[in-house]
Amino acid sequence: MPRLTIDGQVIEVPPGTKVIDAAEALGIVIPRLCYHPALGPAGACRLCAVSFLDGPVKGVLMSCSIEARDGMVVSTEHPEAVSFRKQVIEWLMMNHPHDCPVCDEGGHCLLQEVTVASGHCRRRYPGPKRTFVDQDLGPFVQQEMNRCIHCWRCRRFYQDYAGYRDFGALGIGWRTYFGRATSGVLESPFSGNLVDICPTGALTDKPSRFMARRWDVERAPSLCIHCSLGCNVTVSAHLREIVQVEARYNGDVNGHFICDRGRYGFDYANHPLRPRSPAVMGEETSWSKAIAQAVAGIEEVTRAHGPKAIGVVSSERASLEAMVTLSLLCEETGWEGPAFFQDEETLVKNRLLAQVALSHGIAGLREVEKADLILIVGTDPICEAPLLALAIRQAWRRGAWVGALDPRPIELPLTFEQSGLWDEELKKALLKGAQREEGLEEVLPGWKEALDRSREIVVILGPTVVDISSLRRCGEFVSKLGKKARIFPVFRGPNSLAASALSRESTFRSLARKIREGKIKALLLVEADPFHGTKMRGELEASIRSLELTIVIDYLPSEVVKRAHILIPSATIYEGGGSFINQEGRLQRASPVHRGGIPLRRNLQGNLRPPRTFAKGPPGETAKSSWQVLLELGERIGKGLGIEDKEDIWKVARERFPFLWQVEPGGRISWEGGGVQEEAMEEEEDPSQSSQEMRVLLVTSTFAGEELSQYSSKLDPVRNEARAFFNEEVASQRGLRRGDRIWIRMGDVRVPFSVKTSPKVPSKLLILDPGNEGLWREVREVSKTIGWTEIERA
Amino acid sequence: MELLTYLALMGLKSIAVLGFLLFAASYLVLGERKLLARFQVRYGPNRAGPWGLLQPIADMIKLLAKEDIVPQGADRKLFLLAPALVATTALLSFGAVPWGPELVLGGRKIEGAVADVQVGLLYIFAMSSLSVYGIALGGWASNSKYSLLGAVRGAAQMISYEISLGLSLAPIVMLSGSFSLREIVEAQEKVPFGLIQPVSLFLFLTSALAEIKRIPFDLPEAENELVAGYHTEYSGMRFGLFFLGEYVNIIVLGGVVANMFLGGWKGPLLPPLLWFVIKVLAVAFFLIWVRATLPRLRYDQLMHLGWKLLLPLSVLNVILTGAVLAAWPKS
Amino acid sequence: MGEKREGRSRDEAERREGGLHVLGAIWGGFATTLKHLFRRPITQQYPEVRRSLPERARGRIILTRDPKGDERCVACELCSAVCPVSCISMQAAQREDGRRYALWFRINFARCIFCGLCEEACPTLAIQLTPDFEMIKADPLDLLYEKEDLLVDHCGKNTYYDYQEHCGTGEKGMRPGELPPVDPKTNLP
Ligand code: SF4
Ligand code: SF4
Ligand code: SF4
Ligand code: SF4
Ligand code: FES
Repeated sequence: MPRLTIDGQVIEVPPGTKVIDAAEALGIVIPRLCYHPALGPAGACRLCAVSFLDGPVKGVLMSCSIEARDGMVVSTEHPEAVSFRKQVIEWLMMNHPHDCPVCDEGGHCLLQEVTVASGHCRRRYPGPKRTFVDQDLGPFVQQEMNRCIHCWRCRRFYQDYAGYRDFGALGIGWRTYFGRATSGVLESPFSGNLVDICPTGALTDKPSRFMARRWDVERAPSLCIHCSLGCNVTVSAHLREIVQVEARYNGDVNGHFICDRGRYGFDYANHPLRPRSPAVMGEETSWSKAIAQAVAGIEEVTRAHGPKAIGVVSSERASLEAMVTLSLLCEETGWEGPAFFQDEETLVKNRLLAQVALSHGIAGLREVEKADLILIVGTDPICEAPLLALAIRQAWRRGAWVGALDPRPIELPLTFEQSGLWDEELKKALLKGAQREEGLEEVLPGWKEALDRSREIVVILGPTVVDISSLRRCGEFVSKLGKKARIFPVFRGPNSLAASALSRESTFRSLARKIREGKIKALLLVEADPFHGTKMRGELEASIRSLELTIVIDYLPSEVVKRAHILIPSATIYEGGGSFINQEGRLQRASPVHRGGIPLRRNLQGNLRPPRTFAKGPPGETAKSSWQVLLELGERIGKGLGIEDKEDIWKVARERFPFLWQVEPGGRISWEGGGVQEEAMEEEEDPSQSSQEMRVLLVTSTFAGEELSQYSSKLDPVRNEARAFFNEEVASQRGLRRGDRIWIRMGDVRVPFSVKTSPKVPSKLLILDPGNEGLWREVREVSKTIGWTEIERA
Repeated sequence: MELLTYLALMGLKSIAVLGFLLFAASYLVLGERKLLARFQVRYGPNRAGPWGLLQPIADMIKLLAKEDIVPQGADRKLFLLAPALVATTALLSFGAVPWGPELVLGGRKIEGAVADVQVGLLYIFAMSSLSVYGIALGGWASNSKYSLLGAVRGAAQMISYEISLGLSLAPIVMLSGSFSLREIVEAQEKVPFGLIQPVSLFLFLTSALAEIKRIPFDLPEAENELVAGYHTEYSGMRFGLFFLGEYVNIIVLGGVVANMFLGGWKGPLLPPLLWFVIKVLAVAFFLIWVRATLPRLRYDQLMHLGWKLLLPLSVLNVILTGAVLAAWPKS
Repeated sequence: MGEKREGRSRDEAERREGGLHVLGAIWGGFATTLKHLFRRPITQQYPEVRRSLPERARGRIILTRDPKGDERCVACELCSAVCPVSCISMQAAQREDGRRYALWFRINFARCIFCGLCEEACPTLAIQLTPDFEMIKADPLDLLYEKEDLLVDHCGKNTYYDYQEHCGTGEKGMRPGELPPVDPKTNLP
């Protein structure tokens, strides 16, 4: 290990460490603009110059590009280096517009910081400044090229790290321009990272443009709950409104970056229709009245029909605190539930997936990046867990082989093998793979070779499109691969793992059955919207309508909220914080960012000024977290849990659910799964075997279909329309071409779709991506199969 | 019947004196502000009424109308009690100060004092020692570091100066042979003691200044280090009571000095009561002049002055007076 | 050694302090104050006598306009950042012509201490203090000045500076001191 001296301090670093990082390990921060730990050195800005006094190299050199070696003696404060850096700043500022007052980066700008630190304050060069014409880069990134200092970070991230090619460097020399060939929306779902990564105000955040200066915002570390990866983010709130979400570095989870869904999905918390005050039968009332009504209702139902007549529904986006409180409350009262999943199949699949993954060694994003063979089974990374695609790309850049078994036409920023298998075929292929080493070679050419030279394998497995027995097959298949293989499970919600661990036998479907049988008369829905992504809207509506009492605790203006008898608003993760267990079983905690309340911007009088009144607290009641509401409810019906605050929940949970809580936040839980009864599931007969019809597979896409981000207006411009994927051959036989517009009849409504074709889609399969779900509001039931008679050209 | 008239007379007298005291104290405040202003080439209050004459009333209304704040964590009972203690002891001490000769009205002798106490001097000392409780308790009960420091300083200062205060008057008592203020005044028929005992007068004035915490001895409320000392946390009329106590104390001090050193109400031409008032005002003027002139002492200087200068000097004075008296008894 | 000397000199000073000349000094003080008692007060009686204050006196704050007559403030929030009592608040927004401006701008004069730091911080010379200090209100809410109360229709103390001319929203390359925009798509030198 090289030992070197920096500013008189000796340090030993692993081989390959750059001098700039070695210095940072000593607490000496060398100024830099182009170097970024995830992107490596570029040597473009020349700002990290230090003096090498002794050792293998000598002179003023770039510390970001030189690896630490034995015997180096480095001085960061040598007058030569200091004056060099000063000079560099002066050069950089020569063409800079000096427009900090109107720049959104001002206040957290790296360039501003180093300029001030260098003491440069007067432009001595009297000549004219270079200018560029700006482009419109879409809804997320605002460009002001005059401010660019040519550090190349953006291009290195966009093209090298993320693998998209529509943004890059044009021109040469001092004319180098960072942008697209022409104005247009950036294609990458990771484009928001440009904002984080650009050290100047050349690329800034468009949705939060001119909203607030960094020193004015309330900021706190939080979590992204728009998929199961649990990326770490920093959230900023200003004047009771969430204004920006940024990536927060966590080397164990997301690294330096997040996806655009996580970055711009926050707007649900500012939604104009978000429930802000309790309501009874649609009428706003006071907090105490609503609780009293809820208590009275619950007591009445209990008196008339017993506690089993009350069903409890929650979902995979509820925080761990809410889940634990709910489970304890159900135990205490004897209510039916809690149900976290839509139907039995989903529950069993989730549990099975957790069990399979945990017993074979679970993988997270870091393991994916290190793997040299990645097999994707039944997952579309970009759509279901966007940042996973970035991790796979990093592995691929290091030479990993990537293959995918999925009926959807997966798009990834890398080259990979895909075979569009589904259902029986998938099962067969996996069986073969489990039997013989080279079993998958038939469907994925190159598999055998990759397997032979692989040392670390990650199998990415999702429960949405594969069925139960395929999941099981996959488990067998991975055990055949042996110790070097791990499973990377991809769940649907941010807290699915915890939900499957805490679930009893109840699911929403089973509760609905009991509603129809008249056994359940009241429903308590906690941060759950059964209407989201449902295929049985008609049936659902009927059951909800037949209930005597629906109590909804939620923060989304969801459909079930509109139908609630008693509505109690709850706090989002930004106001209440919360704990979540991500797909690799990592327990993470989010802190509250602000107190909540109605955003000031919504309160402006005549759009000109905030109200002129005295008030003690923020307008609009500060929302309570759902678990607090639940505790209050429990207290009032005489089933107090003796829990006062979060600490208490954690204490109780540690005793009652040790498998979830024996780790400190940031660590991985070790739960062996359990409680999966296969017999409970009757395998449904495949109806397409005998007919001319195509089976329907409902999928989601990156910016449409995830529950929370669906309410974010920031994502509206990039949400895709409804799409129908056909097998290329089948489509051309029927005369359909890519981009055609069709109507598909479902029940008595016709839903418009745009046609997509791909050779990878199995011929007997029709993949429907509802896109913006608005179109589906009228569809009462999505049939399992669709015949050609129901498809017509628009 | 006899008792009833006595009581009625007593009551009347008390009320009259009390009224006069309150009135005098409030106008003393105005007078002090005006004089201080003139010492500093300013006008002083001149907006409320002609020449600012209504200022005390305005101040009173303001104080009464202000919110009465009891700080969090304060010892409520003591906090409320303290200012009353200060004001009452000050008012009570004036009870023993005679302000005129005996009057014979309808065959009834009426004393020129609220109560002609035989040991009046001791009574006044006792009262002024009691008033330190008001300050100590107020400072302690406020639950504020500034108040506490002010209170501690106040107590220490009182203890230090009480000794020289008492000793400085001993020669007067020796000369007059009495503790009764009336008899002391009577003893100055020919020459005021101030002329016989100038050292005693100096010692007494200095110690008394320290006793009533006036500049240059106002360390307990030194505003540039302790905000306002022991009454930092007080507001409204409770603060007003502390204030009142301070000014009543000035009048008491004026009365005592007038009686002990300046011959009381005795004087040519003018009626006795007027002489008394003039003498009291002269003392008050002197105090204001001192305030306009001298800076505040440092704490160590204060202690030095008390223990190293005033105390030995007053002891010496007692011994000397004793020696002289022994040499020429009843001269 | 040094300490000792210092100690000794302190003693000496104290001894001198305690000396008789202290009495003389005190007497001098009393004489001076007494003399002043008989001088005419020099106070000027404010509402009757109004002095005109210097131009740079720090009173009521205004938002000025640039020489072209447009708002100078670009809502950069520097004034609100520097304000020691945090009495300035605003919301930046984008005007149709792309210019950054203050959607609303509020100064709470009940809190302002007229330190003038905001004026010093302002890069556009928009915010300026004026010599007017007579702004007593019975209700603190009336001391909340909105943008329309603050905005005046003159340039204030500086009549020539125009920030927008240098860093504004004008066409790229057309502002003074700028080259015409480069064409990144050409490889010609
Ligand atoms: S746009 Fe930003 S990240 Fe890209 S080269 Fe310029 S300064 Fe660097
Ligand atoms: S990858 Fe998932 S967790 Fe990460 S930012 Fe995107 S949506 Fe959020
Ligand atoms: S510093 Fe000047 S330009 Fe910036 S917000 Fe304040 S007044 Fe406006
Ligand atoms: S003058 Fe001082 S206190 Fe007043 S607004 Fe400006 S910076 Fe704030
Ligand atoms: S950080 Fe080393 S050259 Fe830019």
